[in-house]
Amino acid sequence: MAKWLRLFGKKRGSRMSGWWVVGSVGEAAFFGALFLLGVLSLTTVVTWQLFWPESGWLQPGVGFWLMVIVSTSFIVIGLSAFVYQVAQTVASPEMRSAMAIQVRREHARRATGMVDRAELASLPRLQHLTDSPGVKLKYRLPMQRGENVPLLLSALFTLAWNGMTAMLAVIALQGWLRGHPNWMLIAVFLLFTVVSAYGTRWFFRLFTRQSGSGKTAVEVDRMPLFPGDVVQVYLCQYGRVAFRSLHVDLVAFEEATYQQGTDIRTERREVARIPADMPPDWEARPLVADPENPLEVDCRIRLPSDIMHSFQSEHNALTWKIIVYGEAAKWPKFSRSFPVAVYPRSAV
Amino acid sequence: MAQVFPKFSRRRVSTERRVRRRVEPALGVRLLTLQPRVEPLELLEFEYRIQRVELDDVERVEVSVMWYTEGKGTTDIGVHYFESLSQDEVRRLLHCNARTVATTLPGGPLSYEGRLLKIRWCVRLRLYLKDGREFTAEHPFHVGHVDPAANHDGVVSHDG
Repeated sequence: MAKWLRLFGKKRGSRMSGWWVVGSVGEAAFFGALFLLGVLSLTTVVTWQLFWPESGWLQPGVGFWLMVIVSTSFIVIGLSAFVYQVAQTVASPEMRSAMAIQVRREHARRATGMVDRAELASLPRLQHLTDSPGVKLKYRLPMQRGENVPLLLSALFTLAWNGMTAMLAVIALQGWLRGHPNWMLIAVFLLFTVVSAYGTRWFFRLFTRQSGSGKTAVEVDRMPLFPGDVVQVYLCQYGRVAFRSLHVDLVAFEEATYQQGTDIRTERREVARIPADMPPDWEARPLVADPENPLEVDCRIRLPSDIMHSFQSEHNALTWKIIVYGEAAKWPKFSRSFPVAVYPRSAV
Repeated sequence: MAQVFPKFSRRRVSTERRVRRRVEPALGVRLLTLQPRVEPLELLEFEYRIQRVELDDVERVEVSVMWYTEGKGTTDIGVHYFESLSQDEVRRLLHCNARTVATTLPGGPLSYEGRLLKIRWCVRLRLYLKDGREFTAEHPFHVGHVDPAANHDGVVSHDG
């Protein structure tokens, strides 16, 4: 075969060798054929039932509906992938991005009657940050979701593992009582018991960390925050707890999502930390909360004028969070995050 | 002493193709604002020109003012201004002339030098030729003033 026409490419890091047009045309042809196959099979199945119902072939039932679903999915997958492939081949990334922004603006204009500002697309939305009014200050911040995920996972794992261990115990005990102990089963049961003990300990550690020190509420006097602002923060700690130390920081994280082989990974790194100014009597105050008298703290966070604003795009983000760190006398250390949005001054 | 002779390709390349390979189109982008750092919401003026190419060979020209991310994550882009010139428009607007474009920059995102993430702004010019070749030129510029993440080493200090 001539040297200049390579039908098959090889992956070289992030690029492919060979002529990219061959790959694109091949992919578009495959999905086009899938679409045509779906149309052909769906048409055949439906018209057969309409015009020759007496033939007895593919009577309405499980087989008929399975054919309809499979053919429809071929049509949808084939058509959407074909259009996507053609758009990728014909248009440059900038043209696709410009078209997507135009469609988004048009959609926003129709939905709200207003023109969406392009710069706001890369800033986090405020709706979920401002929909809860505070008791003392203007907004009560939502706690970051995902804090309860490890607790839920550990609960599920511990429940399932302890259930299996209990069943093994019953079977092993039955054999023992009948006078025919299965020593292999007993050895497996002992191994399961060790894992069970570690799992249960893991669950209770997380449970005491989450629930033992009570609920934490954070309120702020404004949203969004702007570089150069002085933000009033109100912290309220419920439950029964005595802290050895408690502090509040505004922390920035960079997040990058990338593909490594067939895996999609997200890396997160802290890039800025602004400690809050605590009240003057902070050192002398007892940091104690009980159910009748929650621990209340008023503090301020001063944002420097040259910090980076919040940013989000499809694979990259810069997020700001107010994080409360606590070290209690009887409980393990805890930290609770409350996302905030920092906007550039120019976005006003 | 060994004699080493240069190795030449056995493929015979026509004179026309050799000339075409050697003479690639020249794309030029120039900012008309004096500073390389532009403030958000400011007017950005630039001019671009295409030289060393027959206008009959041009399929289209695309110009965009855009931001893009660099760093560990997959690259994201956001196009603020975009224009695509067809062959007729190229012949009319770019024949022996530089074309000037002015656009008001948006309020964000600002240029940023982080650790995992960098946000860069640029004017990007793409030239598509009828023979399938594509040429790109970029002119970067900064938007706004943001302290790079590497400068404060995780802690932002502020004066009392």
